[in-house]
Amino acid sequence: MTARIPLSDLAVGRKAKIVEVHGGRGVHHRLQLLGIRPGTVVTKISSAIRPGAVVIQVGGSQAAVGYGVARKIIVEIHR
Amino acid sequence: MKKILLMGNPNVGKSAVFSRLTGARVISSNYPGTTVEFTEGTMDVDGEKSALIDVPGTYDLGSFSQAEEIAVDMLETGDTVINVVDTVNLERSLGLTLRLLERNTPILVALNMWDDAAHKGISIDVERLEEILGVPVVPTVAISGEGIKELASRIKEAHSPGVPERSEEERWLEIGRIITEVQSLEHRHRTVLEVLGDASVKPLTGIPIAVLVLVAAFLVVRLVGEGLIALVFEPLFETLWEPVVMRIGSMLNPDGLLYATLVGKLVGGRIDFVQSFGLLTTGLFVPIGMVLPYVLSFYAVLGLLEDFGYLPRFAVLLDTMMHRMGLHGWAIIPSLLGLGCNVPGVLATRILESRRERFIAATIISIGVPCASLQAMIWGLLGERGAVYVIIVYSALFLSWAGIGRILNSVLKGWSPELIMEIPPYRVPSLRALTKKLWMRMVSFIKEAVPIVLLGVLVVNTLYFLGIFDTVAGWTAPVMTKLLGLPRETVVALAVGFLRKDVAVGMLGAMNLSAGQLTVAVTVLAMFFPCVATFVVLWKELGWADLARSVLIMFISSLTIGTLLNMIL
Repeated sequence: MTARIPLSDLAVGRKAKIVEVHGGRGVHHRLQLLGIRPGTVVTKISSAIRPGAVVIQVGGSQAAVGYGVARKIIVEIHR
Repeated sequence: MKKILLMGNPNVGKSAVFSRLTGARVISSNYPGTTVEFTEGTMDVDGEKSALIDVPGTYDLGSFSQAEEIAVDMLETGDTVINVVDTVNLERSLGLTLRLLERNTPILVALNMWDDAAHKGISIDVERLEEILGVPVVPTVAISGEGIKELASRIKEAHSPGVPERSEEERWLEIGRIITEVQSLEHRHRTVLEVLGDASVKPLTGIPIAVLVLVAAFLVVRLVGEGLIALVFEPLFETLWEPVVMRIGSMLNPDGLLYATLVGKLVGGRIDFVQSFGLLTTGLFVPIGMVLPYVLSFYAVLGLLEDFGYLPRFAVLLDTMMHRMGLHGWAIIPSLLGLGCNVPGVLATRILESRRERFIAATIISIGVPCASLQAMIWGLLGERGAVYVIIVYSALFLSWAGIGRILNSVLKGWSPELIMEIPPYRVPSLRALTKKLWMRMVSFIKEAVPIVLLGVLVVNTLYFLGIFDTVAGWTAPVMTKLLGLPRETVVALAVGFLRKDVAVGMLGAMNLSAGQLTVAVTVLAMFFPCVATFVVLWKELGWADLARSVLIMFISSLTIGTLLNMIL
């Protein structure tokens, strides 16, 4: 079973594949430049107390996105 | 002369490659925005002198930012491109590489941070990558200089493979194919620095770490600053400089203008470096004897935190709090820089996306962030009266910083953008880079501060001599005495604060104020108006209209806080 949830709801330490990124062109572009785009597998490193920033591992590096952006990144997980 | 361009993403060690190839002195910092200025040097390519240009770091060749526009412009005029790539983040770096290959400029690729990739268990098939890209690819470690010679010797092999322009989608697919072919990952244990890095962004461990870092930073700055003053600077002034000044004084008429200007008033027949207020006494002692040691220790600690990579993690932790002020976590960086000097602090607000954010950030820096010069004087003069007064000043400033941010966020139209940023790995900083950066910051402090302090002291003496202060003090007397509970002449010190706030605190220190009065005066001085240097950059960054608004907020908030403190103390 697979399910689609926003990155903000992903548990810390879990791996998931990005399937959709919502938001405007500017946000899209900036995320893409950090390697955050559909198809990429990311691991959630941490999330602050809501509504706080989320840190993820993308390939060899880490990136932080605000809570609002994390809600717009949809990932696929296996239950 | 041929032009060679160094291009790559931000933070891939481009500046380090630049200084290796040219042997020039350059400073490389992590602030996006500050590298929009580019550096140019010269290098030898097969006995021929060529210009080497360090192009601002970009992720793409579009028009999304000022840096990208500059990069595209420069690309038109270049003869060869050295594309510096972060081996650890090859997938991300290749976006720019593929874009460059679609252009007609000959290119070669430097796979930088090769050693980091090896440590992380990432290996790249360089020969295969060369085949696929069709241009030379050279592994380098710019920090140690490894591979730089080979890079230089292969510049002549650079060429343009003539790839047709692709869509963004096609480019990402191509990158995916390249990565599967050339990159292999090996499992390995996480390093201590990586574990520490993750611990510093998780709230449960990160918040205690942040508190620890801040307390340690504060103690080190204070201890080193105070130690330098007590053990080095004070003895130097008292044993070496005082006799010289006395000697000069003895050749002058003690009642004349020249004596008053150069030496000032004697206190108990001796020079008092804080109270005498002559050019050669207080004019030199304030910037060098009292402020410089703190500026030195502040920038040493800040430089260490910057180069270690702590600041982005601190920004992540503060993201939620900063959102209440209409900003996001990264906006803490300008305020932290402001603790050294408000000028770079206000300049750094350029890293923020919207005009609204820049206005809020610049205003709260000018009001609630005391620069190192001001802080040094506060500790030096108010600290003598008791630590509690210093704590009151800091609390009042911090509450104003946060409170005014929140008020502006609810009053101003617009929304606060979200944080999107890279978190670089922790790195053990190089001592050479640290000392170089510290040295450059010190030189610029001395060049900028000393002349203005001297000018300030000169202006104070002249105005006193002409009796102008009495007139001014008369006009503002109701505000000063009734609202703030200060003697009318303190307004003079506030006015001098426009030139240098450290000199102004020095004047307050010489006025026989009670501890409570000094606390009120210092707080109002810190908040009510920026010094002239900050004023000029605020004007440049915000424009007249917003500057006027910002200044109005400063006046209102400083008088409010000052009145409240006066009522309490």
